[in-house]
Amino acid sequence: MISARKLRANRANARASSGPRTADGKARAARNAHRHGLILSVLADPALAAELDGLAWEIAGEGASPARQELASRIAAAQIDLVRVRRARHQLISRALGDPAYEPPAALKFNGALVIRLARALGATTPIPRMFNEMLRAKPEGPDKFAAIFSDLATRLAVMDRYERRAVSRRKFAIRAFDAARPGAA
Amino acid sequence: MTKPPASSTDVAPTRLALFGPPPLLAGEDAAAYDELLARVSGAMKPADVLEEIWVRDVVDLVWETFRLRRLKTSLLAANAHKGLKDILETLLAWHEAPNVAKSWAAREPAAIKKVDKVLASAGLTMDAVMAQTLALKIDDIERIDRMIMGAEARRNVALRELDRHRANFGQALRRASDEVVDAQFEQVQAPQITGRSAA
Repeated sequence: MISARKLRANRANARASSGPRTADGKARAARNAHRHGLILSVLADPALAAELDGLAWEIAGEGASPARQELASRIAAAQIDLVRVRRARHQLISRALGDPAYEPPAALKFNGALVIRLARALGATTPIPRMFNEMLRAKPEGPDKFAAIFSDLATRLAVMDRYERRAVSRRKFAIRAFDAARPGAA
Repeated sequence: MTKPPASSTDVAPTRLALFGPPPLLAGEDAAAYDELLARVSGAMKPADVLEEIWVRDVVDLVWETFRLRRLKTSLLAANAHKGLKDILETLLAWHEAPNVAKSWAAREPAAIKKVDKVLASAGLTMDAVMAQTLALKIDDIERIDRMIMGAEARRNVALRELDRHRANFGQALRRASDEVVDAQFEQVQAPQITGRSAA
């Protein structure tokens, strides 16, 4: 438990901290949720809202009651979130695979350390020997590149997997609610 | 409920857009993906848009599993010369092993013959080379295996949910048809009773 004095100080400091003050800071904070756009609501994007209406209509069917329409909208929202996450993951991998100059960060670090050691051993003005030059220029290709990308992106892919699991779970329960509300369902 | 303007009269392409583009990477065969989609759709016969969503999920996850399995195989094949080099270093002169392994990877007949002879003299086969290659690439292989397991688990969840949805739909259909039959039975019975009491 903290002392009363410390509590007062904390509260005073918190009141003084009212977020970013400069225009640049405010603009940066406003983009916080836009890092990958996956936590933004489907409704926040007019294009996605139109997609949501279209899919909800397909799911609910013609002449559906407002209650069924609402349940269908919940399924559609989860489905669109799922498509967004999958598209983001796909783009992340595609971009890295399509980059001819792609080099895994671990290789870049290793090569940097190698250049420094060579410069120390040979002197800064001596050209790098051919064998080392080839090693420095070598880039992963084919399956090695693919595997390096998966390793490099592992953390970000794990985050996206988490988003995907949440969207799948939301969609699952939304569909169960929709099925349970079907006319004639128990 | 009126159809929103976003959905045009052409339903199938609209739905396809709503499910997202096919998850193809550069160099992957779009025709093979379409064939897989057609085969799975033909086997599962989706009856409504929800079932179409699951079919698409299953197809995408099967495609991902195929891709990862291919990657695992080609990763081991592409690095086999490294595994071979490690083994040859214990059987040949240290400076000779990298060159022989390189030539073997380029499928030079003389190198292939030499490798077979050296391995046989040590009582080894290509299994030992693949085991060494696996040891070199174990982190990548493990990561790919985890991804395959994840894709297979997600595919099983999609299939389970599809089954549950179909069972619910079947039950609802049975209940609705029972109600219709009961209503008809009552309608038939009512005049017979009235007729008897009148006689």
